[in-house]
Order: sequence, then C-alpha cells, then structure tokens
Amino acid sequence: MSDISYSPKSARALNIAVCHHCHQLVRGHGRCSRCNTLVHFRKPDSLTRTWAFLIAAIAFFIPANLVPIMNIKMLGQGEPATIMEGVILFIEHGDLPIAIVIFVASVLVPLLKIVALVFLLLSVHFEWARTARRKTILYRIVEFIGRWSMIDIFVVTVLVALVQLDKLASIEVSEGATAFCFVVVLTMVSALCFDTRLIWDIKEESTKGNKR
Amino acid sequence: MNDNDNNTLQQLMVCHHCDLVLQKPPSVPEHHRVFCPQCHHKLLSHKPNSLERTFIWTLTALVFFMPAIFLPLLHLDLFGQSPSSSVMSGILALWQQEFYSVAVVVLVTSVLAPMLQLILLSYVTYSLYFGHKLPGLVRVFKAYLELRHWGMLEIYLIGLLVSVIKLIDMAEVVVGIGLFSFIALLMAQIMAVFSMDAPLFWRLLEQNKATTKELPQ
Ligand SMILES: [Zn+2]
Ligand SMILES: [Zn+2]
Repeated sequence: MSDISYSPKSARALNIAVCHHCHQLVRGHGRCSRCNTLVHFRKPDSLTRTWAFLIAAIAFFIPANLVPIMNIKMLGQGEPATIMEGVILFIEHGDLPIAIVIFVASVLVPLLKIVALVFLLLSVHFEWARTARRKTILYRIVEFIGRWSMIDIFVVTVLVALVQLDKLASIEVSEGATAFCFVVVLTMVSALCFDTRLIWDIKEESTKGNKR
Repeated sequence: MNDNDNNTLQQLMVCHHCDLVLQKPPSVPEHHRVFCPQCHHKLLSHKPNSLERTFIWTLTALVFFMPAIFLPLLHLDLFGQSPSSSVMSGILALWQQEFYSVAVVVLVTSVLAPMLQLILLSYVTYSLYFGHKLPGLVRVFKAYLELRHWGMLEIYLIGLLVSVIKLIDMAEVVVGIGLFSFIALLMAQIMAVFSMDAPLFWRLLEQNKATTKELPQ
C-alpha cells in the first residue's frame, strides 16, 4: 500500500488509468465502471489533434487582426475598424484602462496562447525534460485565459443590435469577426486536446535514463 | 485478489495533469483545498452542503434565465430614437447580417451552453436531493461537465461594459431591466458552479445506481 502511494512512478507505470470524466481509477484500459466512459492512459492522438486545431487557428489569426471586425457608419460616412484601430480609438479618447483590457484580451491573449501551445508541443516533440511543473502551470494559464478573448465578439454583438438607425448611425459586422471567432474556438479546442501528462512522461523517461 | 486490488484503488487518487499517484485523504478540512505536490493542480476542495446549495443556486439561476436573455440590457438615446438590445436581439442581428458562424458561436456561448448546463445540473441535483431515481443521470452529469468550457456569461458582461464605454461619448446609454436579471443570473450561476462538489456527486450517483440494482454498497 504505502509503497504505491509514495512511489515516484506515474499511474501508467502502475497500470492505473484515470477516468477523464469522474476521475475514478481503472486497472489498465477498458470502460469506467462508474460512468461508462472509455478510459485511456493518455488523451488519444493528443499531439496530432492539438497541432491540427492550432495550425487552423494560426491561419485565421492573420485575417482576424488585419480585416475589420465591424463597420461603424455615422451620418453616412463609414469607418471600418480592426481590433487594433478600436484600441487606438480608446487611447485617443483617454480610456486607457479599457484600451489595455481590449488589447490584452483580443490581441495579446490569442497571440500568447498560440505561442504557448506551440512551445508546449515542441517541448514534447524534442523531449525537453526540464521545468515540467512550470510547463504544466503555463498550460493551466492558457486553458483559463483563452475564453476571455471572446470579449470583442460580444462587443460587436451588443453594438450591432443597438446601433441600427438607418442613415444616421449604424454598425455592421465585418469578416474579421468571423475569423476572430474561429481563432478563439480553435485555440480552445486545441488546448483541450493537449495532454499535460506527456510533459511528465518525458521527465520520467529522462530520470530513468540518468540512473542507468 | 480482485476485490483487494479494488480496495487499494479506492484509497488512491491520481492527478490528471501529471499522473502522480496519491493517497486519497478521508475528507478535506474546512476552508482547505488539496493540491498536487508535483504539479500544483487543485485536486480537491472543501464544499459544505454541496447538494442543497447547488440545488438552490441552480433554481435561482433558472428563474432569471429567460428575462436575462430576452429583456433589453441597454437602451440608447440617439438622434431622438431609442433602440434597445438584448442577448437574443444581438444574435438575431448577427444572423440577419449573414454572419451565421458568429451568430451560432454567440448563441452557444451565451444562451445554449449556460441554459443546458443549468437544466442538466438541476435535473441531477433534484434527483440526488430527493432520492428520485430519474433515468440517464450519469449521462446527464457527464454532458453537464462537458459543457463547462463553453458557457461564457461572465465574458458577455464584460463585453457589455466595454460597449457602454464605446457608446457613452456619442449617445445617452440607459440600463435596461434585462441587465439586472443578467447580473442575478450570472451570480447564481457562479454560486452553483462553486457549490458543486464533483467527487461527492459521483459518489452519490454511484450509490444511486447501486440501490436501483439492489446491490449491497
Ligand atoms: Zn468515469
Ligand atoms: Zn499533478
């Protein structure tokens, strides 16, 4: 009993798998007796799936930032606005805190999220065994903050419904919003496909190697 | 032999972020949380009266749901006209402008996912609280857990705040009654999520299943 609980071995090395849903422990493969989920030692095809969704997200990231997300028309004159132009507008109006919120949520978070996921994937591919704990914490940050990029989409939704006064003033959605939406959803799915235990597997392998 | 192994497994838990095997504590002391010593993942937290509190907060959230989604959140006073916007009218406006994918994502994250979560959770808590054996409990609870990433009411509220600041220079913005419902819904929903003790719920679901099959616990 005690030799199991204080063993530095991973659960997989002891032939124990954890149910993804209810966290019940299962011997080997098979279905969870409690919730009938198919239990795996590691998320299936974790790296391939994470890469696939991430590459799709990167493809949409460029139009999301360059194409206007909405078109603001005041008294007949249109001014399309990309996310960065929205940020600059807030700075010009003296709303620095809001400018920072929008910049962080809409530009910085998606960018850092993509960079962080690429880094985590590469660290598994090239078996960088160090700082496993910090990488796991980085993953949890990515998982937590990813959803906050949706702020700008909700801003567009509110404005589009509210400002519809024909020729006087109107706000229309623009293609950038679609691309932006895809970036947020795809990076979220990509993060969900990643399995942090892969980081610890490499660490376990490398410590085994050192002992020999 | 097999029973023995099962008992051993019952006393263990595994961190699903780093695969470390740990001894399961018999209970979590008040105001305490258990973190993984290897990767610092939060594994367990103390949640008193979880079932009652989750049930009450879920019902409260459901009461506020329809007004929060359909009643106007904001009114505008611009060039003598006063348009208003609700969660639903925003989604309709996106749809009418033929941005279908954006409309669907907003519909899922601000209406469908939060609503389904509340309905599914109230179904499970009702059944566990009153001991009624309703069908499909395990599947319903699994679906609830799957949806947890996709409800984004709190982010919608921040988006609303940013919109107000954007508009405040060009028009008079008046808060609508929908906004009060929305904030009440959000508060109740957050409280429901924080009161919900997943390991406890799984234990109760297992007992519930065991008693229907007339098996000894
Ligand atoms: Zn399970
Ligand atoms: Zn851990």
